[in-house]
Amino acid sequence: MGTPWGEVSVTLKFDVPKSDLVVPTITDLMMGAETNEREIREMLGVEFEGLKNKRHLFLPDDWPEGKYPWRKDEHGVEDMIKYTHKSVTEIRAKRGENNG
Amino acid sequence: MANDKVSKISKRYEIPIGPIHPALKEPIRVEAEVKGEKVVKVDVKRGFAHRGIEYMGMKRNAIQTLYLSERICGICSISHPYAFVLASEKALGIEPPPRAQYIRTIIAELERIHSHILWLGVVAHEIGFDPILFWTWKLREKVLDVLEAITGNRINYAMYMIGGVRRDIKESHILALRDMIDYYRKAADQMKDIFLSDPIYKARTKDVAKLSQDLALKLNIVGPTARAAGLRVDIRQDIPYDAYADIDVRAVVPQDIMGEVNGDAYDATLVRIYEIEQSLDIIEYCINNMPEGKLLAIPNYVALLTTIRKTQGEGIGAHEAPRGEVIHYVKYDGTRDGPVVWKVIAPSYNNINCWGPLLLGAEVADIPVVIAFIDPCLCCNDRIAFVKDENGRVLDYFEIHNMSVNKTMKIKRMLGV
Repeated sequence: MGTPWGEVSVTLKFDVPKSDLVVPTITDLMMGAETNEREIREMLGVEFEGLKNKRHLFLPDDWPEGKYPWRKDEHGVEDMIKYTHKSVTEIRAKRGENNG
Repeated sequence: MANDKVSKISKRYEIPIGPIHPALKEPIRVEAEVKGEKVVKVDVKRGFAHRGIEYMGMKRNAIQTLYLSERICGICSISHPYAFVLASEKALGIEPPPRAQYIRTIIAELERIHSHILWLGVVAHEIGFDPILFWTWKLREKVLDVLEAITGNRINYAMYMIGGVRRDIKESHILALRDMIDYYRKAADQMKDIFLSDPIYKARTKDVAKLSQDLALKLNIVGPTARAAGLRVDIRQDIPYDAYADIDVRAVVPQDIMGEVNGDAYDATLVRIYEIEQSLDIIEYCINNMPEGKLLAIPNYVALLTTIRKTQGEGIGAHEAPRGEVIHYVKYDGTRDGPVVWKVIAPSYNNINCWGPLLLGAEVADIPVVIAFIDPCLCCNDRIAFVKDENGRVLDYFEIHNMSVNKTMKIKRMLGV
């Protein structure tokens, strides 16, 4: 550390079965990882074994169970969105209005 | 008897700070439990400004997402697009032309100057030094004027593009930049005098928010906050990109300047003032050695979006923002013209980690200093503002737009651009 070009980033990638989304925590080695683990937990629904603070980080405390904003499957949030990312035409069609 | 008195005094009280509080510029909640004047327990709650920007970006095309990333934060409105274009270029295999790389570096350093001066003012304000707040913010106007002359805006510059930049820096801009460099060289000396030699400033910041090197490493602290603790971390030094690869940028740490590290708010001030001078040197190098050539690798945006639609790839872009490293992860899957996955890690995401340990044992009056010293950027909250003219009439969008265009023209005339 401290020399030009001295930093090496390492990316670890591993698959976890959808039926058993549990990985061990690294907060005992790196305290600061608590923020990341709490975020992954609430956004993806991956449980961290040994994580002490499991409160929501960004999402409100009354966020519904089983909904994870980063998931693109049935646990995603597509059905919670009302008007965002829909065109005016789509909204009008849904309401049954004519595009006069 | 005496013990009874002590136990009465030592009753614990809870002090909630935020989400909305005069000492905070943006919403976050700190729940402090105090015993007398000492803080004994802290809990930080964030997420009050979470707007789901990444989700929005995943529904848009890459150029729209680039402009959206500028609106993550008003102060870092270069840092986020910078990390986003770096990540996208890695994912798509596009190499920006050399001239564009130099222009990007100049704009990024201009942003660092205005952000650091803003921080100096905010810290002065938090310790009750309001005249200094106004003095520093007056200094900051010069760099904002130069940015407006180059890009057309004080913030949200819309300067970067995947594979280059959108506007050129001309000869007249370079004259204005040289003038600005002289102005800030003098101002940096004054700042050293006003902040670093002042006994009251020393008394309020020495040993306040003291972060040890070991703790900074464990809590993933980044940017000037980590450098103030003596860690030599700086993305511009560790994994150089663009023009930084040609310049030997070294992390500014207090042990090189003062010979010792305290890791307190005083050292953070020191690091930031010296970084302003470092930025001036970098800008000077860039304008002296600016290569000629094109500005964009793919000048046609439709062609760019078509390339994105056909390319599969993922990339990580890291940029040293004024507050620390900002990292964007982008994934393109070759089916749509925008990112399918977009994740942002802003510097304050990691830096807020240190509030808990630092506030423990601190005094109540030091809470604002501890909170302000990492320069928190809780993502600018969404808001609405009505602008009225002198007669109280609400101005509409087109009038405000015309007024700002006229103001930019005025500044360009003033700077001779």
